[in-house]
Amino acid sequence: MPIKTYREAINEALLQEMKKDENVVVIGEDVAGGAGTNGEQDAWGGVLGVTKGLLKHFGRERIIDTPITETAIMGMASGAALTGLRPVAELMFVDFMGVCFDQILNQTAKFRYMFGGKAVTPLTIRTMYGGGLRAASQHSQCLYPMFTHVPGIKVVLPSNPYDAKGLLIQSIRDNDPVIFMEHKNLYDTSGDVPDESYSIPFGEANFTREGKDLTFIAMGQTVEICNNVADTLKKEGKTCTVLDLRTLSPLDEDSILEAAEETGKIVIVDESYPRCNVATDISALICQKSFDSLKAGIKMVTPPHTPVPFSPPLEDLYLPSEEKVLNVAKEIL
Amino acid sequence: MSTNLVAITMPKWGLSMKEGSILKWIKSNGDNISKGDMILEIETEKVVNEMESPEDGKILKICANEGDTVPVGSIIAVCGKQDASNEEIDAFIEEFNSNFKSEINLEEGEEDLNEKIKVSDLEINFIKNINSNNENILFIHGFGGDLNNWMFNQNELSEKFNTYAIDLPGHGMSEKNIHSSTLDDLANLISSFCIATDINSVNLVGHSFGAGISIKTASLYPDLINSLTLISPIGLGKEIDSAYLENFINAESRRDLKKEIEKLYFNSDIITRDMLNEVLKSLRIDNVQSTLSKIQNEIIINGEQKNNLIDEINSAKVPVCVVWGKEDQIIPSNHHEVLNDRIKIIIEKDCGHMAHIEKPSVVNDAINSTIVG
Repeated sequence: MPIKTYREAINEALLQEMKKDENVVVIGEDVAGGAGTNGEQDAWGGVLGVTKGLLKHFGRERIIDTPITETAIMGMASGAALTGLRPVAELMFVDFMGVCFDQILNQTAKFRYMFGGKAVTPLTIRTMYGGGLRAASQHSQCLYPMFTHVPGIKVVLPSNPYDAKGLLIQSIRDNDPVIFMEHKNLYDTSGDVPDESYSIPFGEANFTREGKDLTFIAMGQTVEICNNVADTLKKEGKTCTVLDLRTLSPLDEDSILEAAEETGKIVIVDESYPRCNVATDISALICQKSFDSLKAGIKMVTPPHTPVPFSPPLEDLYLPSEEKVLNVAKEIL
Repeated sequence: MSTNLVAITMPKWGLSMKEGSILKWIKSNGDNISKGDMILEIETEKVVNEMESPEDGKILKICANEGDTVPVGSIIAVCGKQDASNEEIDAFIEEFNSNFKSEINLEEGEEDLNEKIKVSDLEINFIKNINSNNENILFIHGFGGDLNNWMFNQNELSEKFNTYAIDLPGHGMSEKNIHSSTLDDLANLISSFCIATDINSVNLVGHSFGAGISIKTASLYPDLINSLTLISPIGLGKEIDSAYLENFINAESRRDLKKEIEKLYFNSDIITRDMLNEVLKSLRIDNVQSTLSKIQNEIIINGEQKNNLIDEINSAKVPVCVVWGKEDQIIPSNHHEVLNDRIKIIIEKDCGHMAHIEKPSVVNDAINSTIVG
């Protein structure tokens, strides 16, 4: 099967869906052009080059560069979705949600509900999240728990290129607002990705490792960390299950409980701030519905409750790492 | 060095298998074993299955313990006709290990053995294993399957025969859009595939719907076919679990799919999440479901089988062998009763619709003896 990067997989999903459905448009800052280019011939395709090449296929009618105003991007995209298009809006860094969150929280997420089911909003918001790029406190956050908190928005965190393509296609085809979150560190990771279009349904977590001694629950970039730790532990004679949540809303509760009950020892690895995050939510779920299966207290690996540091040594210390996950796992093994 | 001792090694199930984990030893040190006895359970990335003993004798020493993961070809036990001293056994293992060089690089990515070829305007994916033998085997999987279904068969038989396994249109890595999927069309496709790959004569091994294609190919192209080995074939009776096909196509989740896949096997412990994920990956490609629905309509009409191949199979001019799991829940094994006595029939107990996976040595022996005579 062809090997593609996460970035290429996302680009291919956009290309194939735009070819298939002329209602799909891309809206965002620099999605066509980009700093230092004339925009037309050798366009960058966004800050990290994800939409590169789409302009020449679809032109400026469908690859729409906007002014630097997230409020306008989300307003335009929500309205376009309400009136029949299927927009893919880019919120360059999720950290910028602050200026456009009313459009998402109080408008887009509520349309279907408040218009009695008569309005559909097939909007996909693509955004970058996560630390590790030495980009400081305002360009390194995860923030997905703020979206999972809001009913009416689907939240998708692909952990690998295969899932990125299939989940983005599903996001575009979905008739509700979806926030599709891309971890910056994953863009250059690669894996098997079929050339054909395919979609992965929301709400189906994926088992990436299977074992008997311990269960890791992970999302986005932390999946790879847990996979690597599971491989390390296997050499030491302990086998671990790794569950990749893939979507946070909807959440695959059945698989979470299944994975938890398989081993009774659980480590949840979440890169977002530790209060009211995905790890705490899942921990509560397991305690409520499957307490008797637990053989040890549930462990979480998260950053401390501080902004993401700019100092490289501090940022390394801040983020969940294989070493930290391994040590925590050994505490309960 | 004693010639009494034999190494039992990690088998290679499927062309992409690099290593396997020992789940459970069914036999212990000192147990007598005969060829074909189930001696241990092995887990690979794709499947959990029992390994049959390749030898007659006694297990003298188990070298890979439960939980160990070892490369394909490495020694997992020492077997002997008679007892041997510990020194002898240890020397034997040492010598085996000093000569053993894994051909498999665990660090490297999977070597891609898939090839594609344009046949009747469709891109067809296949894997071949050519050893310049005189006899060719072509494996044709069933509805919803792919060439990986032959993981316990193709490799084994490649030692003696040239083997080819194809993905039917709409399946595996072959083209997903098809216009027509009648048995006649697919028999034509098999014949065109053989022309395109320079196969002049071939032994077909078909499973279920693939067995129906094999019968039809033998009937339309008698000069091309040397023999038929058919596993749970369609076309010999009316009954079929039509809900299986419908639910398989429309399975939304791993859990839905598992309920269906369980019907294929006598022992459903064989089903792993990876196995289900591979099937789901394929089902989720655009157009796969609609193509499978077209094929479903060629297999079933009003809840019963549409094709009657009884005359065609009974009048085939070549050796034919039919292998059927006695507990087949998809197509009942008593359909074999319509076959004439020129056809060799093997009804295997404790076995479902997938005899080539559940009882590989039975199927492999059947294929071998059908070809060799």
